[in-house]
Parts: sequence; C-alpha cells; structure tokens
Amino acid sequence: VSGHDEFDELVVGYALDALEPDDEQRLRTHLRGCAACTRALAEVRGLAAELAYDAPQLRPPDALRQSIREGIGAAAGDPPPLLGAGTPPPRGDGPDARGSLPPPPQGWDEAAPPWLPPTGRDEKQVRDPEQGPARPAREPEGAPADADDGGPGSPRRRSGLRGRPSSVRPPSRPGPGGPGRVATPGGHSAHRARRMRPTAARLLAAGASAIVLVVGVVWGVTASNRASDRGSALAERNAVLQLLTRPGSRAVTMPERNGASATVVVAGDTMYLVTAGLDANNAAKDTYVLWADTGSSKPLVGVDAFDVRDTNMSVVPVGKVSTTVASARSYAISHEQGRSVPARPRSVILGG
Amino acid sequence: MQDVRTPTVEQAPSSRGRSTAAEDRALVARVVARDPAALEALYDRYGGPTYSLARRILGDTTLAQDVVQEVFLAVWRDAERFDAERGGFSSYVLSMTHHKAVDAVRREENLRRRRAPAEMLDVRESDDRSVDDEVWLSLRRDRLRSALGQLPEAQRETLLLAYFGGYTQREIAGLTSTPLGTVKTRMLAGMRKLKDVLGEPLGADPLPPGSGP
Repeated sequence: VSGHDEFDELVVGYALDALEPDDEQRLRTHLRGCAACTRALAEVRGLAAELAYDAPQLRPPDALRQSIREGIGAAAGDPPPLLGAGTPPPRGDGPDARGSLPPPPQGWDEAAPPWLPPTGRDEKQVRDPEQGPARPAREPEGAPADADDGGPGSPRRRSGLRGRPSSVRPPSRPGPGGPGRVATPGGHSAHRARRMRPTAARLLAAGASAIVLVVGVVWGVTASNRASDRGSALAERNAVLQLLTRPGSRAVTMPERNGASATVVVAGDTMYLVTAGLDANNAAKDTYVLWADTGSSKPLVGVDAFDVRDTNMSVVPVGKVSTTVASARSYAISHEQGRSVPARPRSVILGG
Repeated sequence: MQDVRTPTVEQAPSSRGRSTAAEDRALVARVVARDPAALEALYDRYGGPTYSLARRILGDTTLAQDVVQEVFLAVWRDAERFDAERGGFSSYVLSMTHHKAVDAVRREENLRRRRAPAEMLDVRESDDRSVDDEVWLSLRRDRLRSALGQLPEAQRETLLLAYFGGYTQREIAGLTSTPLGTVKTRMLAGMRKLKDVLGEPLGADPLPPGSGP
C-alpha cells in the first residue's frame, strides 16, 4: 500500500478514536510533516462531531454544572461569577482543579492531546478579532425597551421552547415596516431583524447554511409542543429542510410586526411559507393571502390564500410558483375577509 | 440550581445548536482570560451535546458526568490549545468528549462487555429527560439520521460501532467477522459518503474571521 489512501484511512480511524496504538503512532508521526493530512483531520473531526447528534439529546443533570463550577473555583454559595468582577480563580492546575476526578487515563499525553494534530500546537494562539473584553455584539440600535415581553430576544423565549401558551402575545407596537429583504451574503439584512436575537440577525447575513439556522430559530421560538401536532409539524419541517438544502435555495423573512413574522423559503419553483405568531383565522369567513412584490412600479402579485391553524408556527406548502414570484424581491401577507384572493391586498399585516 | 444569568451569558440562552463559530471563538478568548462566565456560556451551548454523547457511549450517567466535567475543566485549563484554524469549538469539544469517553469505556472493559454490540446501534430513548423537543437539536438529529440512512448498512454499522461503541478497527473486524482491511475501507468510504450527503456542516461559520458586519 502506498500513497495517501492509506493515510486517509488512518485519518478517519484517528478522528473516530478507532486506531490500534501502532497505527495511531504512525499517523501522528506522519501528521507532523503533512499539512494536507492535518487539514483532512480537522475536516473529518468536524464531520465525526456531527455523528454526536445521532445520540438522543439529553439535558445534563444540574449537579454537573455545579461540579464544573466548583472545579474551576466558583464554588456553590459564591455569588455567580460576573464578567470582570473579582479576582480570577486560580489556574486549574492545583489539586482542587480536578475536583474528584480520577487521574488522567493511562497513556494520556498532556503534551499532545490526541484530539489535536501534534504540529504547531504551542505556537498557535487563539487569534480573534473579537478577543478581549468584548461582549457579543448587539445590534447598533439595541433592543427595544420592551424586549422582555416574551418575544424573541428576551430571556423568556427559553420557555417558548417548551411551548409558549398561544394566548400570551407581546403587546402591540408599531412594526419596523418595510419589505422583507433577501438574506444574501454581505447583504445588510441585520436591521430587518431588529427584534430577533442578534445571533439570528448575524446568521441571516451569513448565507445559505445560515438560512437553515434561522428557520431553526423560528421553530425554536414557536414550535408547538402538542404531541398531536408534532407528527405533521415534523413532516412539514422536514419538507422545508429538504428544500433548504437544495442548491440555490433562499429564504426571505418579513420583518416582525406585532409579534408575528413569516419566512418564504423557495428553491427553484417550489415555495414554502413558514409563519410564526399569526393568529389563527376563521377558515369559514376569512383568509390570509401571500403577496409577492415583483418590482417597484408593479402591483403586488397574489400568490396564495392560506389558513393559519397554529399561532405558534404554521408551514404552508405553497407549491409551484412562477419564476416572477419565485424571484420576487420581497413578500407580504394580508388578512382578507372572504375566501378568495382579491386583486390587491386590503389589509397588509406583514411585509409590503 | 439556576443558570447563571449575567448579561453576557444571556446572549446565548440554550443556543447549543445555533451557536456561531465567531461567538464560540470570542467565548474561548474570554476563557483564556480566566472569565468563568465565559466557560459557563460554553457549557450552556455544549453541555447538552457533550453529555448526550458521553452518555450514549458509556451507557452510564455517572461516568458520563465525569467525562463532561473533565472536558470542561480541560477547556478551562487549556483553552489556549483550541485553535480556531483547525475547526470550530463544537468539533473540538465533541472530539475531546469522544476521546475521553472512549478512553473511559476501554478502561471499564467489563462495563462494555455487558453491553451487546447491537446496543450500540440501538436508538432507544434513555430514561433521562429528553430535550429533543428543542427543535433545533431534533432538526439537526433528523438531518444526521437521514444522512446515515443513505449509507450502505455495512458502512453505517462500522461507523456507529466505532463512534458510539468505542471499538477499534481491529475489534470491529472481530465483531463483524470482516477482514481488518475491509473495516478500514468501509470506515473511510462511510465518512466520505456522509460528507457528500451532509454537505456543508450545520453551524459552520462561512464568514472568514474579521469579516463580520
């Protein structure tokens, strides 16, 4: 056996911690002189880390957080550690730092942790433009003063993960208005999401893979916890996810208004609409309508009438749409009396 | 026990799956500067996935907690060892967890012997409280499962026996009555296929450092 195929196999085995000791030693020696394999290892490790999510995701016991706190010297009973407050705890190489942990395993090589390639470790420092006392950046305009009303961006959204009662709605406020903008890399999409968590806003600016994340955020805020809803919600979610993973897919989010928001997901000529926080309509008397803004001088194009049954989240499979609609610069939602799509929207509630 | 809710930690409530690499790097830099709140914020993000991984490998809550504690104390001690140029913190911390958990399962050989290999491939929910309804995590899990589903059975089995079973290539050859060379080839082919199917890793930060808004 010659060439790099053999090392490719070793790299994969190493990333999975599955090599025999002799193979492991051979690869480590090789890694010191092979930048290509070192890069490959980093990539395979990232991939292997995805496998971790095959495990059922569990909530760690509270005691674990406490023992880690104690391990770093922030013992129970102390005030919670505040940024920059007090003296730093001792470096963790004292006898207390390991808490009650057993000694390092046999063969543990402190000088070369096996999850790191052995080259260049000591010279490398974490270089990060955000390094320093910087807190994670907020949007320049800051959160609105009423950010604690339970909407996205407030701490209470944590409980939303477990199903926010749909009767709890943020108080009305004037929305930012303006059409939703397309989340393109480098686009100034952050301002659009002024009440979204800063993380989400930044992700929106980060391009295609971020779109998946943003939809995840929407769901994270609003997903229903009712078991009966979960089956169909899962199917809808998976369909959207499939769509998002297609090349060239895009998502256009309408700015949040009065606690409601919506995202159009489109790949090729197939469109889905994901709404969050829209009140359920009366399917006998009225309807929501999705509109496409196809140009400044043109009237809005009616795309589809749809019902919202679940205020928390609703996925509307719009289906095939025309190229004009698929490539519209923004979208809007109106609430209409009657059950048909009128020539023009009468009551625009999102976007537009 | 309550979460520490400093304003800084609050920025990333329970956002394990959604963490961006840039935020992770900033948190690691603060850990290097001995900021305990930053370590706690990293724990908020990765405590769940690391614990879940260790629990799956070890099949034991106490040992899993030991591993995760060891991992986060190692991050605290040696945060400067994290090199963002070699991949995200997520990959780093899960690799470390995997390594320590596999070490532990090999130390506790009798523990593993009591578990049939088939159990490593099992998908039972455990008795711990599940956070699967935190939709992001289940989304991520669905995606991975769907990708694994597209692998040939033999490749999937090989990867899962190694990753969750903690078996070496030679042990897998014995368990599956397959030549060692074939096991190595399957492992490589399986990871290549997984890469193709998964495409861009979720949570990757496509922005080069310093190009933020």
